[in-house]
Amino acid sequence: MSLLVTLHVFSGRENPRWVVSADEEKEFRAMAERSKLPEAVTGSGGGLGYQGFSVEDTDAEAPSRRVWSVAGAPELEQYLLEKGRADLEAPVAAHVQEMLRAALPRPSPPPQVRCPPCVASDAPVYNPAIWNTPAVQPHNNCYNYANNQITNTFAQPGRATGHMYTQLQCANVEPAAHSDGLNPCPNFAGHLGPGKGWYVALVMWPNVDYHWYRQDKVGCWSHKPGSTAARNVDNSGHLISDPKTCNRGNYTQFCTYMITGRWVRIR
Amino acid sequence: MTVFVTLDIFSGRPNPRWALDSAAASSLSKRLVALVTESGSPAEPPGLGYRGLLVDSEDGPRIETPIRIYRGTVYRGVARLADPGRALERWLLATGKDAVPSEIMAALRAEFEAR
Repeated sequence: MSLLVTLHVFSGRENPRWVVSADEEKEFRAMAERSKLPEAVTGSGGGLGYQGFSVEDTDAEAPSRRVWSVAGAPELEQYLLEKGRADLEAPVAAHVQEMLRAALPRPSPPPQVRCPPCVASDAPVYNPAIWNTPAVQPHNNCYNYANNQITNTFAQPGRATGHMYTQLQCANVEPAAHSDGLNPCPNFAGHLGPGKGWYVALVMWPNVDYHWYRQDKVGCWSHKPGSTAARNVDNSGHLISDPKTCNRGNYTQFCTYMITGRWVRIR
Repeated sequence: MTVFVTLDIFSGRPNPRWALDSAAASSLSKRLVALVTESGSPAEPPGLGYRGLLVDSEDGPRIETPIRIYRGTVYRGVARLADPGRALERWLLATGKDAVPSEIMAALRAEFEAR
């Protein structure tokens, strides 16, 4: 008796599959029991990038062939990834590993955060799956994410318009972004109707680096630190109700809120 | 084959990245082989700030990639290996002295000493 594991990760290609041995099967069944996994319906989620695993009982003589859907159970997912590691292409394994690392339980539960109302009609929906794929994640940074534009150029403020920043200070990066089409909005208050864009925020690790956040439709903020995964939590693992007050690590200087939109051009 | 190291630290700017010369690449291979499995609970990299050193290679499989080295733990595929005293991490960072801005290098050395 053995189990067939499918890693749901591809959109166009056939998903990777491998078989686990009889000994490993007992281990898996015990872990699945502890995790109280639901029995799967057929198929997988429709997103891009890592979606989870399915595990199928291949015993042809069994009265009913059970299928488990393994997602949202990081320890069990890590176990399955380990068993299939040798059969996976390195970038795919690295992508799954990063997704699991972001999902592993944190030492203390985050406090309840109340998201502020979103007052921008065009605010993007928080959908990290679009960004956290091997083809997109490494080549797009916080500026791409805040502007909701995948350019695969690791976009820099002002580069598209020939006015790229020359110093890593608020007073230098802000006008560079303005030249791309972002508009300053120091007070972050007014309603933005359709076609008027959404709010973003610029912060600075003075003289070292800059970082951007964006307000999503849900009202909380999200961001994509460099080439890492897009996320909606700060450095403390808490949802972000305001980038001005969240844990930003070394990015201690809050520069300004700005308004971006579909008219903005970045490169 | 060329082995590259990336200092994963920035959000907006591209991360510093440098190639190891053949002696350093050979030394890295030997240092990796000597590591043992991590038994403790490793620290998770933050979203913003120093997230470790990444090792990759081009034109050959001499070093299994990707490898992330962060605060005393080496993540190699799904394996986690211990880097006692962050010796490998310190050594590898030092190989980037010409690629990493001096103020960043100084800040990281201070962080290494503090933890």
